[in-house]
Amino acid sequence: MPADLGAFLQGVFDQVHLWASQSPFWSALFTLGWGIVKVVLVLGFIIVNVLVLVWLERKFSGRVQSRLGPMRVGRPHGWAQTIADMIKLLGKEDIVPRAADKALFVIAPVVIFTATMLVYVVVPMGPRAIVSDLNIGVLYLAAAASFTVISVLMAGWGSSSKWSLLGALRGAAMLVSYEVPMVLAVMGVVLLSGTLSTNAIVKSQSGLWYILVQPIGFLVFLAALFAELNRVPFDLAEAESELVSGFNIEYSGLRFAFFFLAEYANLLALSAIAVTLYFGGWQGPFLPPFVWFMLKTYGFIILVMWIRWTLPRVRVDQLLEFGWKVLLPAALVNLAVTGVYVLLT
Amino acid sequence: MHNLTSLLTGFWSFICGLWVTLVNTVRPPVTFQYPEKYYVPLEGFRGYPALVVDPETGETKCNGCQACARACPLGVIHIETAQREDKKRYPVEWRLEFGRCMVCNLCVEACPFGALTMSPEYEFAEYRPEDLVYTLGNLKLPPEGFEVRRLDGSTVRTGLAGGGRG
Repeated sequence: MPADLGAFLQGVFDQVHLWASQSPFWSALFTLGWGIVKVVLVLGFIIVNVLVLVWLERKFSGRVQSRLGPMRVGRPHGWAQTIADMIKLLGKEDIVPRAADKALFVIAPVVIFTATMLVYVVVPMGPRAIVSDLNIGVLYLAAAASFTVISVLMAGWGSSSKWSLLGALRGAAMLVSYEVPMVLAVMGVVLLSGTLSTNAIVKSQSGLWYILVQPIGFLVFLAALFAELNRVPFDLAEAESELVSGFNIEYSGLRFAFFFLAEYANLLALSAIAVTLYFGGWQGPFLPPFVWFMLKTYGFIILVMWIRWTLPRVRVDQLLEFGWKVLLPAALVNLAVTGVYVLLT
Repeated sequence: MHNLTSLLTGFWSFICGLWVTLVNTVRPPVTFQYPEKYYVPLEGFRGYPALVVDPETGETKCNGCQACARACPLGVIHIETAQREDKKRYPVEWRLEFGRCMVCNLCVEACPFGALTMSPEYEFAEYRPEDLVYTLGNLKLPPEGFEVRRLDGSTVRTGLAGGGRG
């Protein structure tokens, strides 16, 4: 039945497309409308998953610390807690500090959410379920994922608070130390698959997942992922216990909700990317591709949360040292070995 | 070489840390939903100083010697005594200003007759400060345990040697 429904929808889509391509005006309108439909779908996907993820993180952290986690709002196990928090955040007063650089302060939450949305463009959720299968997907990914740091800088500077500025500068200092090893680690996968398109990378893993042939590359990617996500042990830009909340400290209400949403949307996006690059993406037996994709992504998210609630935060100099002295050489060695292997076979 | 070994030990301790959190994640939580479940304190828990009732006579063991009142660093214990026909003294009033009491246990240690003990209660919230002055009527603690009045009106049975979750 679902296959029939898919074929039916495909038929309707093809008919409308054929009809619209008769005139340039309707063709342009069709492209615009189809784009809007895609954006709405991705937005809905993000919001629903973020609601689940925030709840999951709180429950998981509770269980790690032998607590129960949220239990009151919604039975069983406080499933409605995030929805209640969301409604509370929407009702909060929107405060802009008097000394703030108003333009930067207002734009920053929008920029961070846009940067996160950009990553979803190349996330393959199924053989055809991809917003746009760019032929430079991985390159685009590296560019879009690091875009969030610009927003962190904008928010930190625009708030004109010393804590937020310190957090933002830390975020900028971190970027150079993790972004280079991350891209180099991903290059190993690119060399093996011989393509930059994310969907083609997934297809090339039908026999063997790349985590099995690129374990060092995966560990480097995982370490850099934590810095990219601003999560413990590399959450120096936020650093709740020293910088109170880092770059987003002056934000309240809806604007803060945007930062919060972007943080978890980023977690989901980068976990999906990790699954795409190293765990065979949507490929898997018996179950539909989308189910496999979600299962793997949530498994990876659990791994990320597990590490997050295990490790303490490192210092800035420790992170820079780790990035330059450990991650970068490891990624380079991995890339060299992979290159030689590809050259010989 | 040194860097490599420190890297490997660091990675090994990272795995150990993951194991610790995994063990704690899969074991049942130690906390519970408090108002629905009631924690019965372990023996030795200090609630408030309460008068022990002698199981043979049904009266308090107190003879009003004032040792506890003298031992109290804050002076929150007030005792008035009277004499029975057999010349024994008994308290007609035994007042504890619990709002000022710091639950130091010195009165219990000072009592030569073992007439005082620490109650196993912990829900003391009241709407008026006067209600925190406990008198003879609500200070008696029967040996077989007693009903603790919960804030929501329900009751829980507790004794001196309780323990664990209720």
